[in-house]
Amino acid sequence: MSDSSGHKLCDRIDIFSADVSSSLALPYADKGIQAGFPSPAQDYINESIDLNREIVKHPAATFYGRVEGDSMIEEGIEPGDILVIDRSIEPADGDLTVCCVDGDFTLKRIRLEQDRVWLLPSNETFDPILVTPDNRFEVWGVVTYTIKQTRRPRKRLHASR
Amino acid sequence: MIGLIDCNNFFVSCERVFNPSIREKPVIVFSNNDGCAVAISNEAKALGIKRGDPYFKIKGICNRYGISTFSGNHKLYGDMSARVMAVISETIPEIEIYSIDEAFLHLDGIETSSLEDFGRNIVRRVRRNTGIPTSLGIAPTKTLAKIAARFAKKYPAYHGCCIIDNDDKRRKALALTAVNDVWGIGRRISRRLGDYGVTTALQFAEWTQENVTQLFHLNGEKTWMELNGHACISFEQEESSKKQMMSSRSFGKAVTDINDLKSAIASFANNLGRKMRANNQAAVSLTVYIHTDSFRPDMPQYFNTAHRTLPEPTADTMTLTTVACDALCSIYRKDYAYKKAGVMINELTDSRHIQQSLFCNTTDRERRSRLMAAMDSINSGSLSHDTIHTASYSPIDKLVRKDHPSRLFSTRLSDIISINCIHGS
Repeated sequence: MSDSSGHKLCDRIDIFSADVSSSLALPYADKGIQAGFPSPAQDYINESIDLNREIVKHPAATFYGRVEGDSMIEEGIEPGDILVIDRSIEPADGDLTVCCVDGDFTLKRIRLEQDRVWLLPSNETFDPILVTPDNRFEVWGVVTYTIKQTRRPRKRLHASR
Repeated sequence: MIGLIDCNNFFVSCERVFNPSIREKPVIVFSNNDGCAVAISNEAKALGIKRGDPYFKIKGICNRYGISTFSGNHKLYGDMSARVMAVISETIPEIEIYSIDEAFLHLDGIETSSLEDFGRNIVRRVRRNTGIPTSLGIAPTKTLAKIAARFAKKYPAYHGCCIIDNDDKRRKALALTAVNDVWGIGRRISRRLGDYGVTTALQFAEWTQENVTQLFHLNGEKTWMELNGHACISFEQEESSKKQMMSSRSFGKAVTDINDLKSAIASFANNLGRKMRANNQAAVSLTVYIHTDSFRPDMPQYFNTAHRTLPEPTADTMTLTTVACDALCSIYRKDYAYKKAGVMINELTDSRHIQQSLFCNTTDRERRSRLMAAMDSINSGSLSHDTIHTASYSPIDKLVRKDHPSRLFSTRLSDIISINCIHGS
């Protein structure tokens, strides 16, 4: 999982052990695994991770979407990925957003300039799109996370839709 | 002050949130069995479509103008409603959910001068967070708030929020409101008022109290008081104050077999039981009704109801099912094609203060209530509320015909919206 700003979250690898008996709560050891002496703190499993709580900050305003097409492929967003979309967030320059342009959904980063809006793809074969006053345009929601299934081949995931 | 927030063309708006291609286009949502138009977009209204129009009558117009039609996707609407109410509650702690798309807001303690900004902000927030457009009316009484909300919806200049906060505005609004559009004035009262030459809400409000008392019962008087700015319909925060509850459905395909009817009745009992237990309520009595399709005069028609008082007030699904099925058997006649069935709880009581009957076995009752609590806790984790249920129950949806259903965009992972990242779109 990566956050929407594109920053890598895995400079340090934390190992989380999953409790398979529950759908949401995962207990975790609060220190990363280190080589050498095990940290005594690892013996304490003092909390559990509820991904719903971590990822969905505004449940009433959060919706999910599934990616089709490859215009954002260069930042690792591929067909079949699930988008966590938070509508309560005021879109800011550079945000990854789900937009409605002339009746269609599209996933793009937005560039807000003084008097205009650009939609930026992450695929060098695609051009940025300039939103003009003639377009019916709305930022539908800001994408806060993308969820990617890494285990199964992507093709199958796509076909199962 | 009291606010009334109303979702604009709610079912249509829900469909539009997840389908931007039908914004600004004519859209109709039909009732569950695709019978009648229950929600109509403004664009479809402009084409002459009215609420209640049956599908077969307007099919031609729908095809000619390319109107988008949907069968009611009530799970989607229910989820969107809960989201709307949750967003409102974030700003206003005291709200009374009046229906799936309306809520009264308790606005005492908010500076009158800042009410307009406050109200517009709520409308904006709901729109931003859920995609649902709303209209907010603010006034000293519920009845006036309803009227204010109509103005907020009708005139864009209000930016979603209309306030009636002085006598001038009140009189102006009432003069522009037909008396039969006033909340609480039914067809019968408005016809009687018509006999006295009353057509606008203002004319009615200007009657003397003696006249009102003489001609109408308590409810008419209450409405009259409310129109004159005296709040007398109390603020009910909890759903538990409701006195009736109903679960019913039209069948997509007419039903003749009593076993099919029984399983429908059982599913209604499951629904009602769950709702009552969630609100600490218990049913005192219930009514079961069944009827044939009145739109088919060529077929034999039958309508009947059966009323039962429960041995003691209960929210136990099994007891409700047994009693309701017994009531059903007493009115069921062979050889009719039934179109609709329902169970209504006529009288509700607080389940925490139940008068026990002399012959009731209390251990048995405790075990039953533990069983129901276990059932509820299992079912509350599932979206459909029917992970476990009584054996005679069949999920209602199976019996309902859906010709143009939309997907469960907000509650089922396989149904979420697809976001195109293809060039040019």
